[in-house]
Amino acid sequence: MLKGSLSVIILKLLQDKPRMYGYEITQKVKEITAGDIAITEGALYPTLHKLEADEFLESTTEIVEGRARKYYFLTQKGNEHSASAITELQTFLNNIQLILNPKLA
Amino acid sequence: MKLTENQKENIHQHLTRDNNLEDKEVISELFDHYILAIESKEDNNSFENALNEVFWSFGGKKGLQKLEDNRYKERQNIIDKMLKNTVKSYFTSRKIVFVPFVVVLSLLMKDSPLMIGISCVLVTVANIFIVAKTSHRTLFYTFLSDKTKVLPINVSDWFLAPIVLLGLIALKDSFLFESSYFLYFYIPLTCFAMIGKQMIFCEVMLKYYKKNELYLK
Repeated sequence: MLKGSLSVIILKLLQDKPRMYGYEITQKVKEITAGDIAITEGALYPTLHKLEADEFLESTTEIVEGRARKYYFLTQKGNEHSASAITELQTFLNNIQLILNPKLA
Repeated sequence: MKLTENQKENIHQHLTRDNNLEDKEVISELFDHYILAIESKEDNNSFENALNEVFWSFGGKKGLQKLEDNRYKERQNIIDKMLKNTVKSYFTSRKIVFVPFVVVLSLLMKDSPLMIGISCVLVTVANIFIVAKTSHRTLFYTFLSDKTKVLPINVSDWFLAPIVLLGLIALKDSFLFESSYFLYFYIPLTCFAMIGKQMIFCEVMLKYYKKNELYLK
């Protein structure tokens, strides 16, 4: 996976769904990509915590089935940031596409 | 596979005893993840195998420890920002009227230990509460927490250094010249600075606790 793309994936998923928890994010990515991309848990949680510390995400905890579950959601700052981060990654991928398949351009 | 209460207890012990995780917030988040991940495995997979698979998806013991260490650092950043915002709020809200009032009052009451006494009691209670609930080391009560991994805080204590230095000079001068008027102002002012700083810190920690209270139960 491209460096920094995990945070963009998380931001994009949270744009589409108001709130998600860690395990749900890994499953959603697996489902969308038909199992081609599997987010490792060792990378997911540090990225979530970093986004939270940068104030792009906030979290809330609820008791589900007798245990605490931490839900993440986008802040106003995160909403604004995700739009630009997605565009930036999209532009980068388009450029890679141009390099790999110049005939398609 | 549906997990039994015993298996859930095994997961908890795996995180805390086998992998030495101490942070309640991290343990609670991982505990939920482990249960969901193991329960999603095929029924013919044994609990031990499933647990092992999830364990290695985090990068084993090293991965879990690293995750916890990073969380400490990120949380420290969050608390630093909250601290900064709280200090800022003292200059942007009604507190801008209230704080000078308290400072003046503390100076007027320099001969009375009442105000400092009340502040000390409030700070003591708040500090004990913070240490007991969050295992977070505070300036006065480090000994209450036997955790080795606590957040590095109280860097802002260094800002008190000039005040302390000034005080030492004043003490020296007052003894030399038998003029201790400065001391009457200096002692309550220093106490107020120290207690005030702790009060702000307590306010921040209580906000953080309130935000994350579910982890900490």
